[in-house]
Amino acid sequence: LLLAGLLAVGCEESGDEGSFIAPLDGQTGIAPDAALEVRAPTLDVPPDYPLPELIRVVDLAEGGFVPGEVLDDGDVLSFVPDLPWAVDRRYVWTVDIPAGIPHGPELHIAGQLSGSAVFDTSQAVAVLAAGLDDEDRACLVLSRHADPEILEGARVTADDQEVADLAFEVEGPEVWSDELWVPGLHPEVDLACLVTGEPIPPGTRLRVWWADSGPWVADVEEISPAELVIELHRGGL
Amino acid sequence: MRSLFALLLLLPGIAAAADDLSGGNASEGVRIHAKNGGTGIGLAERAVVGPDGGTTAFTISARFRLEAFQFGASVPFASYRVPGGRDKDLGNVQLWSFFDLPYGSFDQSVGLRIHFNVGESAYTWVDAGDELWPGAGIEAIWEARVGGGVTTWMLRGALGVHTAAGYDPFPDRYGRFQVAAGADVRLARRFGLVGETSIQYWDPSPWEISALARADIIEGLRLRAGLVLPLAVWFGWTPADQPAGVRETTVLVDLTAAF
Repeated sequence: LLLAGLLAVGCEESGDEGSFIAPLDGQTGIAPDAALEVRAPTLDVPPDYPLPELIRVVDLAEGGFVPGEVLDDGDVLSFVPDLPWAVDRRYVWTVDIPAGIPHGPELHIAGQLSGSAVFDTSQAVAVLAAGLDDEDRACLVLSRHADPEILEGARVTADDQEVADLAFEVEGPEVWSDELWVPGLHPEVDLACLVTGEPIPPGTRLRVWWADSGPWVADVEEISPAELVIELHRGGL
Repeated sequence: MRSLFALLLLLPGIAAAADDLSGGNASEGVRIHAKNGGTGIGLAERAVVGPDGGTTAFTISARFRLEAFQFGASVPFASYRVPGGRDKDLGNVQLWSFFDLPYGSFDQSVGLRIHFNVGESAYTWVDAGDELWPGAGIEAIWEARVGGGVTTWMLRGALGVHTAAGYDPFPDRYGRFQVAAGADVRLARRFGLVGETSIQYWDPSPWEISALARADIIEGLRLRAGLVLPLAVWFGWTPADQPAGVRETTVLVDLTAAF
């Protein structure tokens, strides 16, 4: 038993469960004081271990890195800017977790977390992706919570054919986020599901206009909109 | 030279046979230390070389013999790779005490060794898990030396309990057993070869063999150089996340003065 116990020491699982970034890639309406978060429960690094900048942010209007501080709060890495985010501004942020060095701490991180994503402080509503819900409705993943009124008078084409008799149902995360199985993930976007006479098959290219916005282009993917939201959060499945 | 050292350090000397230039430097391996040797000081440098290398440890040690007891201390200093550069820190201070058992047909001693962190964080290792990576622990040790003519056989057994900064691949706490065997073959008055193999677990290098050449430059001043081959690491049998392959070995050089 002693030998078995000794041999078991250090043998721990290192899955990707529970990992994601927030806000999701393309999210708009970000609050001026919002922090950027990387939830990486498998990344267990000594607090005084020297690492390069793990999160960097670039202001796409002015260029250059945004000054700020990366905080390590156990499972969550956060980027807190020194100054509030500028209004109506688009930023790109990059998560760059280096590989571990042999003879050093192991830097376990879900592979999909590394990379770049954008966010926007404007209140614009964009279409980020489209999927099929469990009623086979094509649902658009919007870039933030959206007032259903903005979709009034919207136009949609499916493979360049105008969709007639169109209606939208806007659903908040309280409706569909129970499908999400990433612990701690609280999406801040809505879905706009198309109510049409004929179902829209997967692979269809949608173009959407509303008010003075558009066209937003999205190909209907054969996965649920909730899974698309997880993908945009780079969540571990 | 021996008298000069003794005078300078006010430490007692150890008589040596006229044809023996060891001057109190006992037969020593890599995991088997000269804990039943005489009073002395040492400097050691061990560097992990190869694609997975980059860690170098410098260790200064001192040992003091008082009758059948020996007391010792060592402090390692490490230079090592980190993502994007290098870092350097002190490792764990090691203190030990040994007692030469007065019975048996060969030299043997038992002892205790403790190690503890002094506030710096060298998150790396050369081979032994308790040397650099921040931690603390206590170990009971038995060592024996058999022979003493041309060939001296060396044996070591140890059992300890340790704590460590629990970041992968190190556990928060672990027990460690160790067995090691080696031989010191005297080739000439001044020269010899040392070979050793050791098995230890939990340890980042669970099985290794070592080969060193030693030279007694002058009486009481011994220079050794050689290689430590981490076989278990090469085979991928290591707690660290390292795939199998020959991508590292350890080069060892040390200088010991015995008084």
